[in-house]
Amino acid sequence: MTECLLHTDNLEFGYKKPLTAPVSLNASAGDIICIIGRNGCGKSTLLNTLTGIKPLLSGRITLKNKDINKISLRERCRLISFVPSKPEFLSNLTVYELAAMGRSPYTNIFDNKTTDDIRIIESAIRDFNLTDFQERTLWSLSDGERQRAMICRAVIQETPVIILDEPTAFLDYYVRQKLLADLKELSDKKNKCIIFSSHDIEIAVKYATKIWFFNSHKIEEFSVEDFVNKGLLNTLTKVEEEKTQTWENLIK
Amino acid sequence: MKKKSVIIKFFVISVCLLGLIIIDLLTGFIKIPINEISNFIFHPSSVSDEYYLLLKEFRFPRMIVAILAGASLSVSGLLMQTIFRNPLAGPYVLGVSSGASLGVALIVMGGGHFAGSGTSSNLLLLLAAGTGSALILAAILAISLRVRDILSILITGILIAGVVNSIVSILQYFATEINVKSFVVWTMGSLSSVSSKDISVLWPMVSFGILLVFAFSKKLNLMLPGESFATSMGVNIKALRMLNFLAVSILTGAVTAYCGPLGFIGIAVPHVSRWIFNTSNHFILIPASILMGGVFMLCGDLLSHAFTENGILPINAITAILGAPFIIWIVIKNKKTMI
Repeated sequence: MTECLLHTDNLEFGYKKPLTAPVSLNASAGDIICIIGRNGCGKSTLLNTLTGIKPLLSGRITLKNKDINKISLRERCRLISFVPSKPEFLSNLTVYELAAMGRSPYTNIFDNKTTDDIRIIESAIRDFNLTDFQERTLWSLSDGERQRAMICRAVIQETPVIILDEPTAFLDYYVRQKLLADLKELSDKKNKCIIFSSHDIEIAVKYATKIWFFNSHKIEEFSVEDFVNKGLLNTLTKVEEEKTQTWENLIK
Repeated sequence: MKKKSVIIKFFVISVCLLGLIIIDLLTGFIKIPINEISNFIFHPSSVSDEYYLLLKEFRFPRMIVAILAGASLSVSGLLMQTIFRNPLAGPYVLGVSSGASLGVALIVMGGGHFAGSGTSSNLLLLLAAGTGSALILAAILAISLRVRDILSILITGILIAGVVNSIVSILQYFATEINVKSFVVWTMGSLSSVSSKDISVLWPMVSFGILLVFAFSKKLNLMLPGESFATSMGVNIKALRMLNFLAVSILTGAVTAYCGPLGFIGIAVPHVSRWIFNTSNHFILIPASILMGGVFMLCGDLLSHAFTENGILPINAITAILGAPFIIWIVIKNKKTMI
């Protein structure tokens, strides 16, 4: 019996109006959950709500059985970490400085790090093969390297849950596979719960253990086998086929 | 190794600052021999009355005001650039100086009978400038509570400043020549109109503002990769913005009330500090901006004395001439790393 880390209880989320029917979902340690759905269906909004960046509309989110709205920001950051699809802004920060930010939920207001903090930072930087990059500034990195640095930071934050918003969006095929393999290793070794959104069905099927599927204003949970066997993939691709047909008609 | 070079850089800047302090104290209409300075500090009784008075009442206050003003404006500029993620943001971007100008304009040009010359009218100007900038700040804070988007706050701030400046122009149009002149002189800025008594009000405000900034520099660092990143790292963005605007208004409001609006220092110095230390880390940039702000302002003060025999050029013009080329150079040179 694995421990339930993240739980939503009749959660409604969105901007003023809820985007889907109330959802009750569970995520446990060791899960790799891929969120699949069409553009604009609310994947990012759901992730932002789960992370606490966006206030929820109604219902409850619990992290380790604690209501997310009732714990302090500092405690929340020790339970859940977030990797945006792309940093909104590039600065002179070095990879090391970014990685070290992962310790900020544990340090005092002057950000003094203990030897333990530094050991955690350095070993994560080694694990992510970022040693050669650690003095480079973020803007000088490629998208893949930057994404790796961001994930390294999330690992340093030592949260049981890691949420990633379209981690593969700007990456090429090989970097994508490598990234997901790394995430899988992380989940296996450190028993982390990883939740990410993606448009890449191949990746979802290959690496995820569970799928949260957005379909007609509902979110349903599937195991990967069920997802494939029930032919739900077609609901995604069917629309594409219809579209191509209408385009073909247009050309005629 | 990086730590070592940071310490060396801080040491060099501190030495420069100390050198400029001494030069600033020595030069002026009356030249003071260098040994009188150490005498003034260690054996005040051995200094001749003339030098003692000059140092105590004029040179020291002017030097201290220059450093306080430079430090406050630079730190404020740094905060605004980080919060607005805009390399051209500065301490005055939200209209703090316009508010102060309006207050002063109302006193000088609106009610002509106040504008005598004496300590009471000085105090009145101070109050007017302080109230003006505080009112503008209150408006901005009210807006920032309601509006989430930082760009909207920036645009609103600039527009409010525009409106306020227009009101000042209207006042100028109707005012008498003499009053307009005394207002224009205030806008030119001055470091020497501050007495040693005023400093005892100025420095606690500046130190309070700077301490406040130090207390949230960790959060400012977390703001660097973006606002949603910061939120996910446990930063309460709205609270941070409010604290930040509060600190900036205390720092800038106090300096502007005493010295008038001093342009460009607040935009240029954070860029220069970033360039010297090649970092965005606020734990380094804040002390660096404090020191570099002092260095810049003292240079400005020295230059304002250097060209005239017994007068002072307007410090606002000097800081612009000093600051603007730095901004242009840095903006052209480092396209990618402006914050």
